[in-house]
Amino acid sequence: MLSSILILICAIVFPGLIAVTKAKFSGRRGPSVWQPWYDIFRLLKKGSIFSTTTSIIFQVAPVINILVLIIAALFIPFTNKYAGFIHFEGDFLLFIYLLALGKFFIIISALDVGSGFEGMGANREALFSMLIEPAIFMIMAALVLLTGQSSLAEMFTTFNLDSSSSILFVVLSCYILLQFSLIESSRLPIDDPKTHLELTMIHEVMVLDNSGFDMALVGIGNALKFSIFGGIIANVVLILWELPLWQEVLIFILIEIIFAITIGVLESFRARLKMIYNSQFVLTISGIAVVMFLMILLLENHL
Amino acid sequence: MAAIIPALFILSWFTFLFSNKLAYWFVFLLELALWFTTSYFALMVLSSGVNYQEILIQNFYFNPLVLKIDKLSALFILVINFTCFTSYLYARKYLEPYQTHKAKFSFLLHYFNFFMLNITMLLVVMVQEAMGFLLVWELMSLSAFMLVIFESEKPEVIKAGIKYLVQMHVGYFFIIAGFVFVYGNSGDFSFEGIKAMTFSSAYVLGIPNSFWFFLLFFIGFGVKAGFFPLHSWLPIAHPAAPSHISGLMSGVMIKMGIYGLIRVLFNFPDLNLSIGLFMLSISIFTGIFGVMSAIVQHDLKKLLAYHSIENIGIIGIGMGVGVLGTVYHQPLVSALGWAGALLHVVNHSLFKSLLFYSAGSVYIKTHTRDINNLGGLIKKMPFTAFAFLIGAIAISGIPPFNGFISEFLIYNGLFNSFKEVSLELPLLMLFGILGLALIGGLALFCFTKAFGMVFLGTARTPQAAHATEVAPSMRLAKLLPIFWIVIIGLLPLYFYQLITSVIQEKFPEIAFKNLPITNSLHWIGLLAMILIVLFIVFYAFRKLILKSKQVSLGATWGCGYQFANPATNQYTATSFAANFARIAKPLFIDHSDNISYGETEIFPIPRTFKTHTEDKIENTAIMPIANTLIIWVKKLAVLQTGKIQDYIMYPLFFIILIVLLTITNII
Amino acid sequence: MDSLFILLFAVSILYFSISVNIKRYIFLLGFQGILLFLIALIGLDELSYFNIGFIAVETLVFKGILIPVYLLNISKRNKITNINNFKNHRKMKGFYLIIATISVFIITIILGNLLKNDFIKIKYLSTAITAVIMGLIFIVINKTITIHIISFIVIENGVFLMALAVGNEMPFLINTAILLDLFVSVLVLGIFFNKLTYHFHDDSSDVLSSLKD
Repeated sequence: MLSSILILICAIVFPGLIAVTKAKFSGRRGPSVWQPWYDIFRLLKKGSIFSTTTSIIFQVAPVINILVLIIAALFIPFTNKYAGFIHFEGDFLLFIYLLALGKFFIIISALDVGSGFEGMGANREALFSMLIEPAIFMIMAALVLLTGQSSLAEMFTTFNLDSSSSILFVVLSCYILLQFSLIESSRLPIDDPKTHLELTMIHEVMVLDNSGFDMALVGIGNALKFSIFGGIIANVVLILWELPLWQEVLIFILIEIIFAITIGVLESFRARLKMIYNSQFVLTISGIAVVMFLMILLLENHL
Repeated sequence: MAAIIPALFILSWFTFLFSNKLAYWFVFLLELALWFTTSYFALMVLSSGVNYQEILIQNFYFNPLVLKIDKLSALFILVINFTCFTSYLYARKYLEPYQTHKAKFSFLLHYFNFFMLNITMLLVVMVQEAMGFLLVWELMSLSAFMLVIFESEKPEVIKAGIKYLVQMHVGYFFIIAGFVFVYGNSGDFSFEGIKAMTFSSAYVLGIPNSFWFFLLFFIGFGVKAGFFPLHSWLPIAHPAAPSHISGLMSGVMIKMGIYGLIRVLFNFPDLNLSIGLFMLSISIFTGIFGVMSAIVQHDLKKLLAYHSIENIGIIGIGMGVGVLGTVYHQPLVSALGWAGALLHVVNHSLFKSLLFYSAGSVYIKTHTRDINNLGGLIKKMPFTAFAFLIGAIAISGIPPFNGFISEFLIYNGLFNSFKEVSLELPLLMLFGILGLALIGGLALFCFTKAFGMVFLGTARTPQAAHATEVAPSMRLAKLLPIFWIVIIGLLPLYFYQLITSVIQEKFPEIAFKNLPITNSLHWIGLLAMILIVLFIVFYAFRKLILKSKQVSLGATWGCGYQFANPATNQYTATSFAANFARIAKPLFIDHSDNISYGETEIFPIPRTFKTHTEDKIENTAIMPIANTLIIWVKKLAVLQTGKIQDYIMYPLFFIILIVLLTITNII
Repeated sequence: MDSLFILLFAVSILYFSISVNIKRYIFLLGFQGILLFLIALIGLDELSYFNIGFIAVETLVFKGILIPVYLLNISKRNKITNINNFKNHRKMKGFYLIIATISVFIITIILGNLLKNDFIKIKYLSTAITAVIMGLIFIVINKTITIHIISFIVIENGVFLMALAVGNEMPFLINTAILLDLFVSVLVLGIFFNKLTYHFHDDSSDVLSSLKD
């Protein structure tokens, strides 16, 4: 339960931090850290316009998306001290497929609008999420291989540090998870969130026709998704040390903040890839995950 | 039961005496009797654990024909009965529009063959003797053929039926060959005989003999199931058949091939690495190939047919995991693999029949199967759209429905193999995990496309704009699978216990009730229920908030164009699949018309554009073999002159030849 | 610890498959050079100071710094930025190259396992063979001379790793052989760019087939 609360707290500062970092690196004064939440409160007060082409799928999808993210946040354990609120054998599978449920509904709500823009975003989103799926499976498989447990909570509890594969795993899975969260939320280098060209958008364009309360839900969902992945990265990094509880809580929050700043820095210094090269890039991340798994497999067998 | 089944069989011949409407209800009564008796015995076997055995015909060839129901048969009996029930319910209103231009006899024939198919499928799972098995297998293929060619006035339907029949017979010969081999080796002409087989330890091409024997049965049953190189009848026969028959065939009949393979593998004396490796690799390939081909289709029923191939691949992955677990002495991996495969058999029959019924309803109301001509049907046919949505979510393996449960079991089998330190098994399971992950992602891609293009957006043609909802009986036929899909998703533990009781006798050392996976399934069911409840609560909360705000309706944002046509502005199915087709270019040939504009053409004149994709593997690997075969057969057709004198001349020559050979003591 | 660097080497091969920019290639080459130095330092058991110095010069200095700088100069002077022509965009070579890299990696692991030789460390061997085979595939697929030279250096890196796979020490002979190959390739590249582009204004290797003298 502790990690879920921490994730929710970190989700509050996350989008603001990214925006402030990007602003500072481009030499601007930047908005306040709470600006995204001012926007969300403003959206919550507004009314909505619905397109006549849409149906009930459009009304239902943002609700399902945020619900899925809230339930997914309950799966994350807190290093080796506390298990997540929900834990059982094979829970990471339900975690991954719950996110897929949210994605399914967002994609069909984009198609519901019946406009070419949303269709574009929908098919790109479907392709890239399909290509990045193996990456998260390989990270989980490597964890099962290293610890012999198949529940997220027990994996982080029984991680033993003396094998050389643990450092390998921590370094590489942090990198892969960083890129994975960038791809899932459609940030640079896949897609520029600040662009106003609909032809180049992925996520932004899928929610183009949402307004008011639904838009606020989408904004909250984005922050929550980042925070969940930051929680997983923090858990992975905290494998390396065994510390008292209050220090681990501090380091957890610190890692989430560093994660946000890293995303801001990466976004400031990168250009968007050509759309054709995007699928190659996504497949590379999956490829790195597969190679990491194979190397850990070889190490475990002392080869 | 020994008395009822022959009685029903004889009674069914009386169908031909009735009129159209009465024949439907007459066959319905016969079917009800069949369903009640067989399901009663099946449930009795499942609950009490005692196998049921009864002699049907004494002295049938050399053995008595025994009806034997064990737990595996009982499970299949229940699946067959349920799907036949929903299919028959759907059939009445589906076939109604054909009454105007088809003869009465074709309907009577159709109902009669439906009953035949039902009873022969039940007999296939109940008969273990090879002679009886082969007889009812052939009857099943024949009755399915008669059902497929219902719309026989269209030549492509007959062509599809003939293709189906020929391939079934090719497989049939392989099954006969397999059983003859069993008889020669062990002296027992049945499935039980496989248990007593002994194989020489000779290796042919580095692979043990038992693998080549297994290959015989694999080709035979694989043609029926639809594994990769033997699948070519599926995408042609399923769209040609009427939708309730497609649903029935996809849901249950291809599972008969899986049933045969399960019987062979369960009785196999010692499984070795080649069988497991072959099973796993060909299933992964089947799954990925099936779903990749499905993405580039724009015929709705062909898309669903390719999806059946993909799901057979998933079931095959479960079976491959089961075999490999036994080979590497990890019973838990093996048990979870088999459990996942069996549960997926049940699940697939439910959601695939549901999807085919929805596709059939769409076809009946809009008279087109082309996705690029549909759209916006959710407003006109809300119940069908809802049914298709539930089917689409379930088939992609997404919680909270039942597709996730069977994939969860297979995944758990795969991940459990990592717990013991070794190199070979985890490396093989890596392919399984990658394969399943890719198949899941691709299925999500394909079904968002199918659901989005058919039901959402704006109608692309006037036919789609004027569709209406279908009749209540068709809706009921869709509601029943939805009910079971949701129940299996919400209460997976009961079905887990059902499936594991089927495979318990193969794994006596595992206490299935005490595995940690029971806790997981309990949690999954609980979370599914919580998800649905929370969704209703959140949605109500949102509606409450929106009441206090100003809500208005408007047109979709079209970038400010004044007279944009919403139907042509939206994405088509081909464009949705385009970025995938670009990646998969080595596998598919894209035929599209080339459009060029003349240099002096200032205002372009209207043009038409057609594009369609073809399967490269089928064109380069399978078609040339079929074409050379046709060329040689055509050369032999010289002997068919049509004159009766020639046909008398051939036996005359034969008699002279035999006399000569006998005189010279050669024969 | 050396497994981390071997893994990073394999990751650099993956990034090689999808690179388009010449600067990216050169950076990856330098990265590989530094990685090889770290691998040699940690992975070898018997090292005299002379050996360490020699390997340091060879990998760190030559492959890590000198050659990338030289290649950068050449590319700047001849204004080469992309190795692809624009009509190659639609072909998505990178996608299939990544699938090829992973398959080669898995196949070498399976084959290495079948060898059942206790003296060969499979993680070195499979990465090395992957580097060699992928270097060869890069040469086959691409047309420009610069990328041929770069892939050649990748193949040399693979050979270096293979030498590490089977032994505890780095024989002097292999070091000198690799240095000789590097010298020859860089010399060829230098001659080509200095003399031949002056005449042909093109850096595609098709040009070479029309060379007569």
